[in-house]
Amino acid sequence: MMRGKLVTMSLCLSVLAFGAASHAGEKQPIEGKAPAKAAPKREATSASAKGPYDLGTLDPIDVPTSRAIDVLAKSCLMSELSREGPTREETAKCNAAVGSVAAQGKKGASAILAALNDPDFPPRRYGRTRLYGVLGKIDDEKVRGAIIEGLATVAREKLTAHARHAYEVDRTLRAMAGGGPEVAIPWDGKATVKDPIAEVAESAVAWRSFQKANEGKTRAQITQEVLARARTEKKSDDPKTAYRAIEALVQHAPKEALGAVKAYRKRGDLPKDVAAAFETLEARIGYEVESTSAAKAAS
Amino acid sequence: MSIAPPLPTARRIHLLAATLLLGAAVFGLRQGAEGGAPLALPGPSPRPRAEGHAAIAARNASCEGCHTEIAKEWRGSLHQQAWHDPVFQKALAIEPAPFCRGCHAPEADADSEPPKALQDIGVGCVTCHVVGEAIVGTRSLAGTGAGHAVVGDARLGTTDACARCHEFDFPRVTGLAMQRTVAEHASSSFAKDACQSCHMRAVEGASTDLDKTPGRQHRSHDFSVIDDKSMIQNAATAVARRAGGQKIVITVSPLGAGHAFPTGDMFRRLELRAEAVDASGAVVARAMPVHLARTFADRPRDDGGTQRVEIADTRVPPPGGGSRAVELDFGVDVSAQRVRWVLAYQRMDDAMAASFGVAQARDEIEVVAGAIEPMDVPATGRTKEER
Repeated sequence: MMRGKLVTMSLCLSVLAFGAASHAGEKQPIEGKAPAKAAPKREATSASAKGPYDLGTLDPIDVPTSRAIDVLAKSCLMSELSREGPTREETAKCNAAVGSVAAQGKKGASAILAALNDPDFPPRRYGRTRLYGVLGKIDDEKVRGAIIEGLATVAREKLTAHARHAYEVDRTLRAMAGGGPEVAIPWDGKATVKDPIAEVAESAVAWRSFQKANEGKTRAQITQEVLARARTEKKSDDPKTAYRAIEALVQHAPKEALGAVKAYRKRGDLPKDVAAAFETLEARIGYEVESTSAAKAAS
Repeated sequence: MSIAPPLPTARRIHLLAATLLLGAAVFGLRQGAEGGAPLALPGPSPRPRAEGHAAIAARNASCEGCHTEIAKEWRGSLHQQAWHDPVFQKALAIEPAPFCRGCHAPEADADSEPPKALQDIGVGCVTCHVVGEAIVGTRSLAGTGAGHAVVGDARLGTTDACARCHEFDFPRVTGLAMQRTVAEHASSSFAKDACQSCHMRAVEGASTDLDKTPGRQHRSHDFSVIDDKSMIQNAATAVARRAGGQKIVITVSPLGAGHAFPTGDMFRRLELRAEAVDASGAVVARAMPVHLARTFADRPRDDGGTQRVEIADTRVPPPGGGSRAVELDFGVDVSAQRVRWVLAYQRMDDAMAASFGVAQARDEIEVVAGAIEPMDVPATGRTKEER
């Protein structure tokens, strides 16, 4: 088998397989017509050495939180190469450590961000996900600002190792703020896929704008506004407005969002692609509601 | 980041399947048993067996004895290699789950290491063609002079025969698909063509050594997929254009694949990369690669558990679902340079490849490659022929 042979030969070939990376300004002759696969490179800029999060405007690093994070790093282990995701046993082992970090509350934010400044800490992505989860519970505008500026730094300094965590960052910010930038409309041309750095750059711009528009507001205030607007717009004749309103409802009132999307889908005037997007949305919200109910029943 | 939630299509397929099964059970319309009890379709362990492991291995060998051409195709196929495949073995070492063994060694007990003889079979002749005591084919061969009776089950020639190992949820979560090739296929413009149309192509030669009739054809049992480079290269096409001085946009469209591309394992992806070269052919800039893939995240649940969810799907949609536009950014003006680009199929990301001892650069398959001339020279447009 081709694949089997390739694996067997991989050690011998690995030396030949990768050429040196070339970047803007470097000239390097190439053979063949198609671009060769570039050698993986390590980030080596001074900015990446510090990481994206500037702790200068935040409280000093809390030592007990740092200790709790060290424990979390050893407890929240799951192979990056797992297909299934963490088992119940792995999750249970991690939960206690996460609880210790979360118990430090808002004063632990700097320690968490300091840990997250290292793209490889905690050593497994699962631990990192859980640390972001703790951050999501913190209602602090300054911390939110530091994370948003961190996104901008990732884009500016091209911190690719951090860029792969962009989804977690966006989710964390939404949890912290009680809302966030408007979601993309599936049928509205957001079909172009960009490199991870470009995606982060767009996200940073959107979050900066959101932060500015909500300056001085607490999570509760933002949540209240988000819900009020969503409830007004969930039946809008403009499908884009309704779609965004229902999306906004999901975070705070998934059952209400499910009812709203079901009702909206009963309209007979939606174009096929729009109807399909609402159908997808209903499936996702339905899943959210089901899993939340199941979780409550289990606990 | 484009966020794609779990597909409702998968749910529709599950509901449809459940409805059909229920309906069939109620009305007794299931095919295959010729009036008797319904036959089990191919699928994961445990298989309906009337004999022990050793006998099943012997039975598989006996199939090979009279169907030498088909056996030759099957030997070395990904089905036959299902257990021994080096990448599967690496993955199994990380997660030695019965869930994985069930489809990769369907003839064995999924709760333990399969016996060597059943490892060697992988997905064998018997997996699809032996149910209990019956030998099953797509049509009955009773009274045709065949070497043995064959019970006809037309479903063996349909997507249903593949579905149980090529469409499944995460083991601990119902409703979230780990693989959803069947749902992708059902939503494509190829929905009326069974998997076998492409992955078991008609080839010259009789299916059995006993049949000497000239001009016979049979369905190949090589189950062509990623071991057939041409199949991968025919799965999608792409055109590239400049988008200002620093960027190019490559539009990737489905071509021959009857499902999303890539499909199957959750880590498969396409890599798009490009480099700008000067008149001497020296690389002066390289764009950051973009990957078209499914993306997953682990979300803590309210009950303290964790749930793996798909958060984005940027793969090439199934035929009929449009194209995928990809922007590559050089970060510097390359309008005066020729830009070479390539779309490559990769089975996993670089970190996993390194961990598994797979030389990514050698393992990947180039799907399409092309070039865009400097801005003062007419662009070449679609350039698959430059591969």
